Amino acid sequence: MDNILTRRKFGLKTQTTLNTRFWLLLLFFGIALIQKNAAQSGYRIGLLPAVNINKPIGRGWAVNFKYELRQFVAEGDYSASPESAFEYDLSDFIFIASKKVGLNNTIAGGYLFRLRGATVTHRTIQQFTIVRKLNAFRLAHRISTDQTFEPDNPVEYRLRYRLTTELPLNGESVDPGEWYVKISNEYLNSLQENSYDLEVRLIPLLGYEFNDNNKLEFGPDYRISSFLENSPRSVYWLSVNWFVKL
Amino acid sequence: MMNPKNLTTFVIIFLSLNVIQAQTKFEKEYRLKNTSVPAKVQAFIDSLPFQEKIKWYFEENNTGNSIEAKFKSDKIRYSVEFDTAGNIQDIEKEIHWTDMPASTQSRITAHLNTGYGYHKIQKIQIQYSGSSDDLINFINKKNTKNITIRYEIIVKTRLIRKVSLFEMTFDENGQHLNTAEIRFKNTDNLEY
Repeated sequence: MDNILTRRKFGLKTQTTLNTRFWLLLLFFGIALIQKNAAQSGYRIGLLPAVNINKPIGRGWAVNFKYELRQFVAEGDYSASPESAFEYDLSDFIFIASKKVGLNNTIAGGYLFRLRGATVTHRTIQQFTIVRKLNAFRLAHRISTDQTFEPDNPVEYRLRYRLTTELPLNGESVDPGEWYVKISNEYLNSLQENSYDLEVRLIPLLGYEFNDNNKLEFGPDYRISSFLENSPRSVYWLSVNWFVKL
Repeated sequence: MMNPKNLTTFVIIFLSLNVIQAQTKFEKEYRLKNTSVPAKVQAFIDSLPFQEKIKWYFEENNTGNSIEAKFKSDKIRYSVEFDTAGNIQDIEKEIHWTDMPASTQSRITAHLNTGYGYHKIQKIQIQYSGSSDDLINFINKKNTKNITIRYEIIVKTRLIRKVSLFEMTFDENGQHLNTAEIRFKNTDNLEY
């Protein structure tokens, strides 16, 4: 609010950076390329709301809780119109403890508890994150491994790498009361009893910072898997993330 | 009589408190359209011998509001700061450690060696301030008469396992003037 008032006070207009336009263009080309490869295959569309609560507990330690829900709304293949398929899928409860190691690095470990109908899935998670502040944007690398335990299924081991860019839509950093674009690209390698798969995710989100401890992000979350050997499987989520720091 | 171990502990705690007492640096900025830049500011920038594209910012910080022009010339980043009335405040230029005089380097090093533990300089800017006429004279003729020179240094430190980032200001001779701790922005939305 201060920001807007100050701008009005001095009669100043603000400007979207050229840098942002470049990244958005690159993103649209990326999506078009992946969709071309996914033609002739099935897809699903759903909602992916999540709340993420983080609480620092001193000496660089923090605890994080995330609740995420998956709700499918439609499905089909690319040669026909989508059919309505309003179906609740699952709920994830994720607990993570993290420790800052150095100025920009964080190591973290945690546990996921997934409820899908009567099936309960357990997952252990380990991750390492590097966040860098560059001149006009922030860049984050996240490397993580997880192990998923599900009844009647072999253990699934995954190795993930995610690159995330946060681009301010105004100025060189995101300040309270400002919008930003956050683009994530993630590669998930999965191994389950000699069966390997690669999933690729592209998540361009629009975010709003109420203040440094309260942010809302929303936008598409595109995931494609099984494209190495079988016909690709695509899922389009509408992602809504609320980040709160206590 | 204090034994050496207790004395060391006392010195470390005292120096840590000294570091902790540094004020926190607050900054908030946003882009300005060229058409929103006051005429007085534009006139000053036009008088400089740079042809590069300029990015304009409005900045709010602990000491007040300002208008800033940022540009790159010969791969060197410059920033020219004005107050909201359009009066020039200073010109800053990014430099390397080796660009500083040896005597200034040794004074800065001596300051960093007292109380900051492990430290690594991440960025150095030389700051020129003075009247508008003096600054134009300095830019065109390299005449430093009536120009105040300062160094702004961003330093990463690690003391008793606490990692911090500071902005320190030194005068032309390397005499320490001010230290402000840089507050880290929340990174939760980039980590999870």
